[in-house]
Amino acid sequence: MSAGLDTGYQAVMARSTQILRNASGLDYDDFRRGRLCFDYEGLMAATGYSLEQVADVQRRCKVGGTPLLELSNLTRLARSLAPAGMGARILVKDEAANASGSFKARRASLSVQESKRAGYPGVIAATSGNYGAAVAAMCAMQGQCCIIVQETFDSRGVGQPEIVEKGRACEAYGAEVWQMTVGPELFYMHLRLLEESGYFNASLYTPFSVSGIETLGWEVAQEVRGLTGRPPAAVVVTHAGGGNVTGTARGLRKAGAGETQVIAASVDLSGLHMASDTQFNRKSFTTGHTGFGMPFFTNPDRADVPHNAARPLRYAHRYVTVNQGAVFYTTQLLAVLEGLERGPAGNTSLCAAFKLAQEMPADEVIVVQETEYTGAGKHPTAQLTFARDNGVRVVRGPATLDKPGEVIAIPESPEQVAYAEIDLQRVRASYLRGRLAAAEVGDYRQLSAAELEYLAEETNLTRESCLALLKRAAE
Amino acid sequence: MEGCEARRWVEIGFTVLEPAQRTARLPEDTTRVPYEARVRGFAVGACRLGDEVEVKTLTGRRVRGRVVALDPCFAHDFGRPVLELIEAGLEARALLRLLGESPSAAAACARGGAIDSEAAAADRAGGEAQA
Repeated sequence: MSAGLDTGYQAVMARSTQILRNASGLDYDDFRRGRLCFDYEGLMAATGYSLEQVADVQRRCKVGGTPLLELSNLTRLARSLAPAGMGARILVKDEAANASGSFKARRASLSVQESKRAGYPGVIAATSGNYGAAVAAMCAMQGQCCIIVQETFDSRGVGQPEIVEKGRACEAYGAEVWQMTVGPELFYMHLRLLEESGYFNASLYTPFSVSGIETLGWEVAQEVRGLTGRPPAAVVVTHAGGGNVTGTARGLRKAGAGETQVIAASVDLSGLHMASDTQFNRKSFTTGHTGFGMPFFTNPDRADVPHNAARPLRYAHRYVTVNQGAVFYTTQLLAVLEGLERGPAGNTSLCAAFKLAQEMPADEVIVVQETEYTGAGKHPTAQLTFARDNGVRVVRGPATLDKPGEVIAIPESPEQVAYAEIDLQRVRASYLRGRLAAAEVGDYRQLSAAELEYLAEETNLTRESCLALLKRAAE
Repeated sequence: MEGCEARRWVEIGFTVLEPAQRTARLPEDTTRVPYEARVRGFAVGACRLGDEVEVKTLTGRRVRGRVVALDPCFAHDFGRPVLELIEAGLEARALLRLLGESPSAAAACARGGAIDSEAAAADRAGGEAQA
């Protein structure tokens, strides 16, 4: 521990701003504009990397240029459920082909390069997901030291198999892995390790991380254009912290595909408390779920950076949820119908796309923009065995039978693969209420024209619509 | 108790925060347990299970804690067979085959809830016999 510094909880949390500033090389205060506004594009430009430069870095890091695969059997199955002339072609971007096995390598590549350029002795990331392995792999090839901090165990010392596997992968790539019990104090541990090591904070929420995903949206737009002459009608994105939605949509826009619908999809884990020691091991998905997805929509700045570069409300056209059983079912179909063993968590978007495709014309394309590697622990049979051993029932049936933490319902037929639509207007209203409260704006009528403009951008609304929503939210 | 020479790969654990030191924003069940960490590395000195020891991690940093495992292994696996998934897979393949033969019958099956999994297996066996 750093000599002379108090490492108690309160003391470390009180130093968080300074610790994060030292560990990022970015002064977020430079982008604040008054009590409420923030120069978001200024922050994104502060990385100093153009899209082409990012793609160059990624090529050197064995990242990007992943295959775009046509899922013809799943498309046929979806069409059999759709009215005549309906049933979009389902394509998937096989992101498992990136070094470390997921799209997260795109996010890690730039952060690790930046840590090296800025002279940090190593890199830390706090993550229980694929991002840990991604950072560890990028550090391995760029010669940086790496520490990964992950929430792994409950108080009995029982680890979630998916997270244990990711911890193993991090270690395989040469990282020092800190495995923690359940609790939001992960952030405190992260700060302590940043302070004592002097390493770079490869947060998922920096502009480096989000810029790294822009190449994915760009590739999708260009590749589908090559195939059909136009960009895809829709791209479905598994959503947790918001970076995947944000980066993909920005990449689509940079490729001139701003009309493409960006649809966020999460596994519905409503009812489970994410910081509960006893509920921790009653969930079968450790990412891509509503426990992250919803709060990161309404309050993106609950992150380990002063201002989150991942802002899904700016970019998502729709937000849908699917149940755990349906994602396992879709994962099984991907294996037995398409010969691709991937996921399961990364197949959240595929699950939603299977239903969404049925509602789109047959001459349109819907893209599932990621797959992830599968392996011991990180596999439907591993997760469902673990669920059963932790008292969760696994049955066949529709989503209505699915109850997070109690019942996992695997569809009885392809028709039972369904999604639930989240009303984004309500999400926007919640964001606006929180934002006004945080900036201590008592009444929306006190907002300046610039502030209203900013909130409209944040919620992807016109000024008029934003004003109308502010008015409704205040009533 | 099994001994441990220096430079053996071990897992150490320690309490980071006692229950009373934890953040206030916790569900009730979590407030009752300490916040704990585990790290792996090479034991700097000889040690046995339960001993307090310093380890050198893969980054070369040193961390102190109590030995919770010697030669810690990753025991996660693929779990037991999940019949519900095996059946779902067979049904989907039968359905796809039916789509090639009789799209309307297949569509009815895809909508009509569960396909009898034994029939699906028989269908599969029949298909293989033909092939």
